[in-house]
Amino acid sequence: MPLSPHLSVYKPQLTSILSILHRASGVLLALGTLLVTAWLLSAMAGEQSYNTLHSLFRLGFTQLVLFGWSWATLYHLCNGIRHLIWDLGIGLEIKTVYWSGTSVVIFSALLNLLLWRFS
Amino acid sequence: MTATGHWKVQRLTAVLLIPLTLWLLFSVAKLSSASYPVVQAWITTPLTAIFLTLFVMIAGHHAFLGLQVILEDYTHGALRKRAILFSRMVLATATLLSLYAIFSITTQDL
Repeated sequence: MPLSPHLSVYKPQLTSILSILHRASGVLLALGTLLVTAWLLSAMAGEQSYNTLHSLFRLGFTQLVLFGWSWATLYHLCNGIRHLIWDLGIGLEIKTVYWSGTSVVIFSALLNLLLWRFS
Repeated sequence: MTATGHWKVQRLTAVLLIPLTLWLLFSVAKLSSASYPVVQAWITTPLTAIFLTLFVMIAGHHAFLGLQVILEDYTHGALRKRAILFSRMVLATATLLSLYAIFSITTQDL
């Protein structure tokens, strides 16, 4: 039987933390697809239900959650591109792995700020 | 699905989701202060309806493939099968509901 990574005996490093974050954000996004479904269903149900959900999305706390959620999306997207490049056999030197990891965190944060400038 | 098939589809859906996700995020951000008729008109635009349909189906499948890998790593025995089946059911239901909503909205005025 294949064994899961033994997280508890593993010294945290940027590489392992980003790897875990990729999975964690993935799970979050899977749950987030339910939000997209709710949004579409409310739009289908008509103006009143759409406005109800919309005002819920507008609350300060919800905005904070949505801000984190969109960052999780953009992080998963950027880090996913990093994984796809690795799959081509590129960027696997340890120095490059650290450099691309830091870049992904910074770039996804900037993209998220840009996204929220739009709203 | 075979292991290599799973691997390939996960990558293929990932590549397709890059433009689709960026498009959806920035579109929704722009619509966040729009009124209902504007949102309705946006969804009804043919290109939007097509991209939304693609996003919902591809994202749902990508999410399922990802969750399956995670569940295979952290669950064992009978629980593993049940957990994977459950996640597939929830995601499939959400996807179908989304498709139904997109279809209903785009055909409302026909």
